[in-house]
Amino acid sequence: MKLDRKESISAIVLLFFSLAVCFQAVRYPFGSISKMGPGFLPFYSGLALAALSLGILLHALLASGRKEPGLTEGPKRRNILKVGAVFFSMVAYAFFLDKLGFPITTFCFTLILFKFCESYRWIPALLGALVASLGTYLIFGLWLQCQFPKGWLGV
Amino acid sequence: MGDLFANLYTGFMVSLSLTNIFYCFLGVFTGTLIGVLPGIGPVATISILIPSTFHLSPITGVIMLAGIYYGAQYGGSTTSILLRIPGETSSVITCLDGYEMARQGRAGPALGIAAFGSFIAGTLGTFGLAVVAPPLAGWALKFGAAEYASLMLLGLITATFLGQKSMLKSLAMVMLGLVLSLVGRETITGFPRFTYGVYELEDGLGFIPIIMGLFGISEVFLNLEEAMSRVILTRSKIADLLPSLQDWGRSIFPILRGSVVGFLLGILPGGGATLASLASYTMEKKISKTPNRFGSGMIEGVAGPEAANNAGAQGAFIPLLCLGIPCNVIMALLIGALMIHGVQPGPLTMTKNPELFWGTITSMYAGNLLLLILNLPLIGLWVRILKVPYGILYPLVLVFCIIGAFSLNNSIFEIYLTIFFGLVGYVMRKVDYEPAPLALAFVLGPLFEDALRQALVISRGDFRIFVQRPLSLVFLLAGLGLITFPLISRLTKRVPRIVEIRKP
Repeated sequence: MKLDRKESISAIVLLFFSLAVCFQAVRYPFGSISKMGPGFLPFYSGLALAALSLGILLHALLASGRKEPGLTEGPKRRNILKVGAVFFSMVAYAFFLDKLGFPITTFCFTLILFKFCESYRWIPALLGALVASLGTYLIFGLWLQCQFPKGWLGV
Repeated sequence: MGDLFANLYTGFMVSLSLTNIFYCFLGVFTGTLIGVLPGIGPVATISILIPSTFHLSPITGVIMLAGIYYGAQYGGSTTSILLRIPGETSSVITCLDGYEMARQGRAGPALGIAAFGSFIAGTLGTFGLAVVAPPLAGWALKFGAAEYASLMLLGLITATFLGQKSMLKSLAMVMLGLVLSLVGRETITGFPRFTYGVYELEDGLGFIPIIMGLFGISEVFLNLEEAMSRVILTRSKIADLLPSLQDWGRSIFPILRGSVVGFLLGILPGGGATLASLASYTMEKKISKTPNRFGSGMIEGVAGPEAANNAGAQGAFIPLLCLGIPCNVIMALLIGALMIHGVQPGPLTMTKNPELFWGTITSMYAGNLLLLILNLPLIGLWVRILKVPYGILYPLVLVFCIIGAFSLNNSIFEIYLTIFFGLVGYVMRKVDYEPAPLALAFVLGPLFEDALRQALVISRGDFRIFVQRPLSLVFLLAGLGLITFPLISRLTKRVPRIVEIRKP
């Protein structure tokens, strides 16, 4: 009998999270039923979440024998790498936004996505990044008056 | 009746102002666009665009966001008919006969009847909303804290129906949403909960970063993982969009029936437009003298469901505007947007903000008219837009998400939060946890806590207050019924399975 790992791991993560919520909530003033304190609802919500996580875990254990082979097919590795690359590009975007300013960071971000994640040629990728960064700057920065960080270069 | 017309007049005075018409147009145009475009749905779009409504008045913002919602229902039918790919889950059923019509060279009448059917249903839905909403809101004015607490609990139970997979997981997501909504300073005592000294968390987790992450960014990640290819049916003629008299004769009653069924089912939790279109198709098939021909290009199979999904989209506004309870995730987003604007939707909306209430309702009529104008003459444009590669779209979607998150408080922290919830949403959806119940519970959580606390203070800690008050008891029994119904259905093995079809 093969265990449904995805299902079980997700239930265990939820269980730990809910227990952490409960442990944190008991440190807050609990109050009474007629006068609920700040810890009251978090504690019982955490407790309910813990019970539901156990239910999901139990369900995963019971259902593990009935799993159809087709359903366990893994995702395509290359595309997972692409997701990872996009994710880290976004983190880098957030990190550099107040250092380089909005237009430059957006240009670099979209260029990375067009050129390296989507494999466009250099000229379309550069043009796409230019249009995306300038377009969004004009709409959000100038028209909608969003206060973007200026960055070291003052733009 | 006189009041009804006076109210509608008030509404039209608001919704037909130049500014509101412009933003209504912007909303329905964007809605149609995202209904047509691959890999981005109305939930993601509304969540991304909520920050852009901050500089607008609440009514203008809601008119635009509502326009995106029902506009997407229109746009979704185009991809269903021409590509056999449902733009939205509510257009799934349109694929069956719509695509067959397109294959037979009748894409034009299929698109035409879908647009006209949606317009007629939208018009009837608007009228239905105007008739049903005032008495319902008047009734809801009698609510006390106990009724509200029970209603919010019913709302939280309702949220589990937004998930189409495991009920257990949906319940877990509701509880997770509730826990996340409790982060930040407590409203009564100001006691900081789960803030860990992080200044940015003192006001609580932002609704916008959570929904943009869970719906917008996670959607992009999931789409990136799957290879996307689409072939547009080029053999079909889409020049003659006006259905013939014979087409009208066959379609008019399905449209009317679909409008009524759709409107009623739209009010129900979880189902909304999707359930409405499925019910209409099933009903037309049962009524038809030639049920075996359904699926081979019957215009009734397009007219009824398309009318139903549009009426369903409008029926969904009833619980939102009258009770402050969202019956689907888009309504939850609209509640979030209104709360950001300082408006608490509920029974008092009609008396406190009549312009908002009636303006939103009547804007849907104007929006439906705009959609008809947009969809028929511009069908060629939508077909061309179908060909835009996803590789060009998603970098822009991500930039919009980042800008939206940053513009909330001009804070980089919100961007990190959005990216974090994007990753959480992606992982959640990979393991079949749906974010919709979480989002709804996140909105209702603080309201539930306040109502529960007030009710228990009034009753001095006696829980019997919730069953001693008749309306409260009704809500609790309804909630109990909602939880037990799937269990009973499962035991009797009569639950119809609705397969979730994600947009490619």
